[in-house]
Amino acid sequence: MTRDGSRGTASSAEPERLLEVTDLQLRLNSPRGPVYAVDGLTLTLDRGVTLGLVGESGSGKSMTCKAIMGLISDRRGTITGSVRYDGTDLTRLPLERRKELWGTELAMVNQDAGTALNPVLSVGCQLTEGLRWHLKLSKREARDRAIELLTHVGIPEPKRRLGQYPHELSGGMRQRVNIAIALSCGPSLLLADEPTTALDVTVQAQILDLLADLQDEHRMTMILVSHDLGVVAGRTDFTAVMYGGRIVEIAPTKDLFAAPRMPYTRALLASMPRLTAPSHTRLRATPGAPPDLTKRVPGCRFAPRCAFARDRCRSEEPPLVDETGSGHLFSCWYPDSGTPEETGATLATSGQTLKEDA
Amino acid sequence: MAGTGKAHLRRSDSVVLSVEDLVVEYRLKGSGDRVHAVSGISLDVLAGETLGLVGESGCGKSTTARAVLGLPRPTSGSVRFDDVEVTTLSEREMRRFRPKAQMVFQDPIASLNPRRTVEDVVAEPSRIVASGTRAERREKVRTVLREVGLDPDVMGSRRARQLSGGQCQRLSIARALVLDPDVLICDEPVSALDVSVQAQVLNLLGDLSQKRRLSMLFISHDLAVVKNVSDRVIVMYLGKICETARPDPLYARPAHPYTAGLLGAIPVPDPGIDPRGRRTVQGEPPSPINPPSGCRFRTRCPFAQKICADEEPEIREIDDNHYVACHFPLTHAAAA
Repeated sequence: MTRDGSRGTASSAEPERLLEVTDLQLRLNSPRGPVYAVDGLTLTLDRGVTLGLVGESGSGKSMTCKAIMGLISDRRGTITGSVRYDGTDLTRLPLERRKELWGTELAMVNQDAGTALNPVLSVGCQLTEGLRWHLKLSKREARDRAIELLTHVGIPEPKRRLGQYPHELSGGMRQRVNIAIALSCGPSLLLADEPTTALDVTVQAQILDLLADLQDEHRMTMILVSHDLGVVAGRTDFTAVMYGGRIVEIAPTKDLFAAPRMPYTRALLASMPRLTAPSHTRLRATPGAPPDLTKRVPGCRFAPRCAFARDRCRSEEPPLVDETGSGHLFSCWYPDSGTPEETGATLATSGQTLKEDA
Repeated sequence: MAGTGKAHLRRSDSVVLSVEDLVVEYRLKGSGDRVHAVSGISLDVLAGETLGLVGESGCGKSTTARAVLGLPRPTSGSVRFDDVEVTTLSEREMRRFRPKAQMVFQDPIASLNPRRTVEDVVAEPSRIVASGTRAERREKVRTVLREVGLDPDVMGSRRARQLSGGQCQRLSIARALVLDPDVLICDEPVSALDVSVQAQVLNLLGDLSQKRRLSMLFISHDLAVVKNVSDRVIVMYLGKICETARPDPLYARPAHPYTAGLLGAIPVPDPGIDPRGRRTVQGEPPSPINPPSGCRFRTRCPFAQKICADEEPEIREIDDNHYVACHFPLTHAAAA
């Protein structure tokens, strides 16, 4: 992301634009009327970069991935805006052309490793499908490649696994299989949608390490979606924070965590219980609940919950701008409102003790 | 990990809940294999104390919580509330005891009937127990709703399906509190909530435990959440206790290799820390159908020796109020 020269470690040579999303809107059909799941999202991504996409449930993270992939059928919803991948606008491609790109150019790893796999097909069958379809490998070649892939994602006894079914594998192993499938045809862009949310922390760490290793190796571009700010902190070049279907702040990850500008980002960081904070540290909760995406209200979407909202916030929507030219974009009329203590930016030191240590 | 043993139990008059040698096993249909869900857990909770039970899925933390309430009754072991043994009570006697210990479940939406009104949901427990007049019960419902931050005049007649996840969890807490229990058992109460809402509920639980001098058994897989709410923490692995201590020393100086690995695996919201350089635990937990001999963590433990397979470590005190079940506990320097 970012339009200037400041980018992460991943690109050493001249950066090459891979993905350019402009004013993406996704309107889902629902019994309650249209749901504005993604509402005017703009984003650019250079080759080799990892972008973390964070936000609470319903903020539009997963739907952004699905819209980029082109997985929303006309019956389910309407997409407007453009998704330019390597120069081609994916939103204008017919389904047949998009199918050719799935797996070979764009691939996705889903949150629920169990349901992402077909329960009645063997691991081998699901893993070789793409290899045979896209890469036109013979049965034998595909099988050999599948064994290589399973070995690569750290699955012991890969030969035996080919004949096993998803229910015979643990959650972590299933997610490894999903990753192997996603990477089987050498995609350039991997959309990892909460790939570790259903897993235990020790397994999560292993899967995230695996993704990082594979990404380095294949010089893949990755969008890592998570509701957990901790997951993206150490593993991304850029972080985008979503709220109510829009990106409200995006910056190099280090800058975002060091100096969040938008009150929502600050509130999100302040409401997390920390391992480093003493027990019974009072958390800074944000009152209220995320917005109802069936209703479109004027102004900043976070205004109803923002402690610093003023009249302008409720009437005029703040644009996502790079005020300082540093590649740190945020959408807020009154950034850095309040003192650090009030916004909770320094919560680790400002904790009140709730009760005496027993 | 293992370990069995009761060295960590306290002999205090203010023990409200005491569990000894709790075992929960069940047979799988078909194969008849025996699942060792909980294998000899002992714990105690003092009045006004919050005990956190933390561990990964399948470690038996939820099973422990449910067995305490007799849902279902444990295979063996003792559960005492205020010195009354409840595992041997008849169904009728159990009914009389139930108001003393109430539960808050993980999924706030699924644990409420979507068509009942907020007031109905909270009124039901007292209707079943039939305490006081109808007017008294209604007043009590309104007081409890206010206590959890739901305005009875605004919310009272809404239906559960009209509430957000956070509001549903407040409602579940109100339903659990309306009978004024001594012990509140919270099974992953904030896991389904977003962080901003999670913070509201955690703060609420902290306030309630202090105001009501409520004892809580707080179950979660999230170590940061458990640290925040607990006065004491038990780390579980595969049906056994690994380590128990007060949260601050436990997190600063974990003595059990599993605790240290678990802490190392947690993603920290600090981009300055390279997650790949941290100590974590490799592999996945073994099956509870056929748990490893000796210390149950030995198959994933980087320090395991022969004795770990042969002998199950006993829980012992290694520091003031800090207990661990390990043959080779980490020294503070190594854990840092």
